[in-house]
Amino acid sequence: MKTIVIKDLKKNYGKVAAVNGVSLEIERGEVFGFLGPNGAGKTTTIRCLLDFIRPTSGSITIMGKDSVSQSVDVKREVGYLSGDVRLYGNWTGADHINLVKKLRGCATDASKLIDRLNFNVKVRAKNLSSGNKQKLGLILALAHRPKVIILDEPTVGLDPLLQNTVYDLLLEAKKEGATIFMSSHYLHEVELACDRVGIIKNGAMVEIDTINNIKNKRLYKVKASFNQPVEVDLGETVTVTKTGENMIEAHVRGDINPLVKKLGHYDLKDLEIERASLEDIFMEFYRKD
Amino acid sequence: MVAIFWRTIKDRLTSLIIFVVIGAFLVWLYASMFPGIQSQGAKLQELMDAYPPELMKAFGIESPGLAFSKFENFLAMEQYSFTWPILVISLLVGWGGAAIAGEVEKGTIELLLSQPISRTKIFFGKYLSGLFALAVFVLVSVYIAVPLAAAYGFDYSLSNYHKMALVGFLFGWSILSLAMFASTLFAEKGRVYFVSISIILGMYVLNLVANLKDNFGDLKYFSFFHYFDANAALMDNRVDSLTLLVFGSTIILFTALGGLCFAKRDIST
Repeated sequence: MKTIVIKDLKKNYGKVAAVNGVSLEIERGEVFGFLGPNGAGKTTTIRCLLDFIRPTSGSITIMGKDSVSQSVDVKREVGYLSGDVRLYGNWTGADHINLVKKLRGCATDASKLIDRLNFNVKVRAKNLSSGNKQKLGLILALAHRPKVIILDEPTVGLDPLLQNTVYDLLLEAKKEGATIFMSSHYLHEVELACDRVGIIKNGAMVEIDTINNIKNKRLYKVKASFNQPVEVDLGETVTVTKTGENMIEAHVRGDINPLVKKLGHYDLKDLEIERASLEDIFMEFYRKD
Repeated sequence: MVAIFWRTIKDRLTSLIIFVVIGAFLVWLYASMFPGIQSQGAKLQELMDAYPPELMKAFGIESPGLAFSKFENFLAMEQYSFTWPILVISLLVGWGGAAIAGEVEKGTIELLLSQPISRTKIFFGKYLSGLFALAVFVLVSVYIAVPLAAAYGFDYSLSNYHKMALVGFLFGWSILSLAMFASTLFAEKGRVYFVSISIILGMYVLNLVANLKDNFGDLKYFSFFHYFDANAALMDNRVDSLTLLVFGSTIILFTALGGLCFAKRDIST
């Protein structure tokens, strides 16, 4: 069953297209990582999901309900956490939790999360550290055990210990059947938590696949050094990332053999070939036109 | 909606109490001054007669001699025509600005918007809290005059205070509707304050010009200050039907526009 379906989502601000035709589907129980450089359209897409802003065209359904016309019903099932959680400075954690409890009008069990995160609910939000603010944000987002969890860079600025707690909570929610949509800049976090990822660039999706499939795409890092200065033509599948007087570094897509044969014509001093890391692969997506 | 209503009241309770105390204190101040002023009435009237009648009219003092004959007249001219509107405007423009634009500015609106509650309920939760604050302020700052008049031994007519409370409440409600509407348009409360105060000041100037220059007399119909006639309410026990019509229309128009704009607008914090 598809929990989140986005169809040809477009959002324009005047003549600027912030999101330009995003389409994707997320299965129930899946953890979906939403990646892209700053300004690519991640936050705009998330704001459309939550009906903070309205699409220029296209549609979003969450658990079969339209995110705009059935926004209230959708939000009953959704928990949302931003990386930059905004709180009422003069309220305590308990004030925030009580308000959300009243607005949701359902039984929320924040006490387990409060204990687990070792959070002091009596402190005013303006006196909380950024980590503790994020803990409160997590409690507010997860206490009602949502079926869909939407996170916008949830671990920005958190220490590794708290980051791990966030991953643990998300994986536990996943085990209970929750669907998670998470934007992130941290590739290790995506690798750790996500089943599939979507990469957005300039407002459009450039790749949607599983982590393993993306990693298995043949991308190599090649470093060659020569005994004398050379000018080499390496072909279209090669992206040169660094050049020196007697050396060259490049990323190679696809078959590595043609490049090795070409390099064989030169007086090589050293040749290193390694499979590119996930980070290199994402950088390749970000770079390519 | 009820949760947002009470939470907003709680957040702004200190501000409300301060305004109510100032409103009540000023009435007490005028009550304590009135016997002395009344005894000097003849001299003061002589002084006021020296001013051009147009100038006195422009500032809502059409019959200076009357100001010193009754406590209600004195209050109408000194308190409810001048300091009281300033207090109401400050209270409600502040309330309206913080309600939506203030939440967008701080980013806390995201917490509300991510909950299963419609934008209409958020808007009216905030709006009704402002109306509640206005009601409390009007009740205390108008009706406090009654026990004070009794305590100081002044004559008073309760029905005149009912009229004053009615016209004051409608005036304040119109200000709140205007500020709430502005609040749904902007993402910074400073802009709401600027726009609302500019409009209100503009209306004040229109009324002033209309009273000073007969050629521009019709401009007064574009000003809340023409319809908010404390002298008519408190001195003559009268509220014109045009006042009810204009304030009523303003309230309905700006409330509907505010609710609609908030429901339709994009909110990016």
